[in-house]
Amino acid sequence: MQGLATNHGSAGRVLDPGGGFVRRGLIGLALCFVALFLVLPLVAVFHGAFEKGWRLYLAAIAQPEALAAVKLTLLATAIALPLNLLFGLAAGWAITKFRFRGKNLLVALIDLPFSVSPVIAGLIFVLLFGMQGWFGPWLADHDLRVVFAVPGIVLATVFVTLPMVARALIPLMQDQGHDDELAALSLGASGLQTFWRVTLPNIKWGLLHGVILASARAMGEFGAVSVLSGHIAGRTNTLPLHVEALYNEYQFAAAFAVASLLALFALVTLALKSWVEYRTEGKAS
Amino acid sequence: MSIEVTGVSRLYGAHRALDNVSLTVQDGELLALLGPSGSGKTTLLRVMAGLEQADAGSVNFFGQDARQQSLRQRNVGFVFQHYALFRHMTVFENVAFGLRVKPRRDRPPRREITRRVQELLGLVQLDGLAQRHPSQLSGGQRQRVALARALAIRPRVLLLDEPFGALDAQVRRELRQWLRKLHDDIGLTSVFVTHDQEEALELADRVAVVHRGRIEQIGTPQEVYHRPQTPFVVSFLGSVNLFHGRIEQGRPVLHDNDGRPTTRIFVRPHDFEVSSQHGPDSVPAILELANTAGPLARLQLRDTKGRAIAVELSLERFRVMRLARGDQLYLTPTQAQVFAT
Repeated sequence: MQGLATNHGSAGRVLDPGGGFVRRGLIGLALCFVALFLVLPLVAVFHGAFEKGWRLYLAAIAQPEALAAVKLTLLATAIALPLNLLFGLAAGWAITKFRFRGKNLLVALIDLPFSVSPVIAGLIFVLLFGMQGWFGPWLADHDLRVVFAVPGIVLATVFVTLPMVARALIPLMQDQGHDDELAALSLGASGLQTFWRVTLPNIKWGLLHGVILASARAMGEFGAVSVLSGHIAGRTNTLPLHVEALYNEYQFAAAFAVASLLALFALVTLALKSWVEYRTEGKAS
Repeated sequence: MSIEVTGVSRLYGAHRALDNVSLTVQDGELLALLGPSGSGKTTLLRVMAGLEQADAGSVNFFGQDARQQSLRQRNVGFVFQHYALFRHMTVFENVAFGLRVKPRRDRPPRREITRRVQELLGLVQLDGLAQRHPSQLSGGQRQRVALARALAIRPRVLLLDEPFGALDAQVRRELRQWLRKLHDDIGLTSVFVTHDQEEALELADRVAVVHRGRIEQIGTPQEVYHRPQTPFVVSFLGSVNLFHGRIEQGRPVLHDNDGRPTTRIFVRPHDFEVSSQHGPDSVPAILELANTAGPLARLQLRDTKGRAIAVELSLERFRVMRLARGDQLYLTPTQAQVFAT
């Protein structure tokens, strides 16, 4: 690029018509947006959380309802992640390594949880498992509760995060093709050996990337979980739901305190994600 | 007979990648599958390796029906076009892979594996690079790692898919001679795929020319080059000029404007007698371009009907004739391939 610019100075100028002005303007605009819509709210959350001092902050977080919400959020995430991993791997493998009828349909269906509004996703499960739903009477007969209980929350979390790992893996696995696997097989490896020694190491960073994104989404999910939870404080409230409950009860400082916890989770996953991306780029070059 | 392919067809949707192909690979030979891209040569190689299944026909592998054998049982050394090296493993681990995944009872002890890998790395001249990762190697080095990895399992046959395709010209030529020597030294049966006719003619014992999913001709490099059996083989093995004309008294006559039935006559650029004098049965043409940067003078001429004709002659002859652009020349073919239309 540099050689081109020095050899054809006029051509270089065409690419940058306003000189430094346009470049600085665009960068400034982007930074303004980031400051206004990302940094400022984040600062506001932490400011609101600590407004009434450390003691109140800690008290808000140490509330039994808040701790229960943290626990439930982590539980739902912990159940959703392995399921995601399994589904993502299976879907990625099937789509990239095999040819079969209905493959495009499968690819489209995987994206469904992204395109459907989370509220509708929640309603679907109410329709299926609620008292008036298809499986409602059967569940009631066997004394099982899905809607307004923990299983419903887990179900909603799994649904909204389902495409995450698959989405991260499919382009990666498509890009890598399956020559590596064929090479391993032709060298005498069994299917399982090929998976553990060749496929998994090849996709591990993509897999981790997908898992991190999925966990961020799982922890922050509001809409679908809100429909299915029933908002029973201390029992079926996840962190985002607990924040809303506190806010509706005019406990602003406590709401912000719990929200800051959620923001902290998000920042940690963001840092992890950046680290993974940094590692993958390092590997690629 | 190492591999016997009989009546094999392979379909991709409506596209016939292989169309009733039969081929026998002789023990110890180096066979080239030569063809343009999309001709089916790679598919044929993959079917032979068992990496792809044929839709019809059979592959016989050292006297056994290959369909009954798993990839592991077939024991084929396959070198992929883009090498397919395991990127997270070192060179050593790549080469050792085939030994380490053997079932416990067949697996050599650790020290034996180390010894074998070192020996193979020596064979492919990569000693000292054992701890590198594939990303730290040049194209030629990766190629040789892939080869060593395939040889580690002591394959009964070595199959190579465009082994030199991704390398630059200099490295290509060196590796080519090196591979020929390696093949002779270890006495392996090898099949390689290439789209480069020069490579096939220089390296192989026999060449199979593949076109549109069929084998057009199979024979020694001399046979396919000097006695091509189809127009495709002529035109694919080096550049060639196509004329319509007749054979009269055993000599090709390149006139087609008297309304009598004609045949297709192929003349290679170096098979012309070039003269500034009109001779019997010569074709008049005007010199348009001359390129003398090379071992031969490559001329571009145009005949009276406006068709381009490529001609090569020695630099000496070119200088003696003092040729210049716009000269009127007369071409007489000294050798030609004739096919009935």
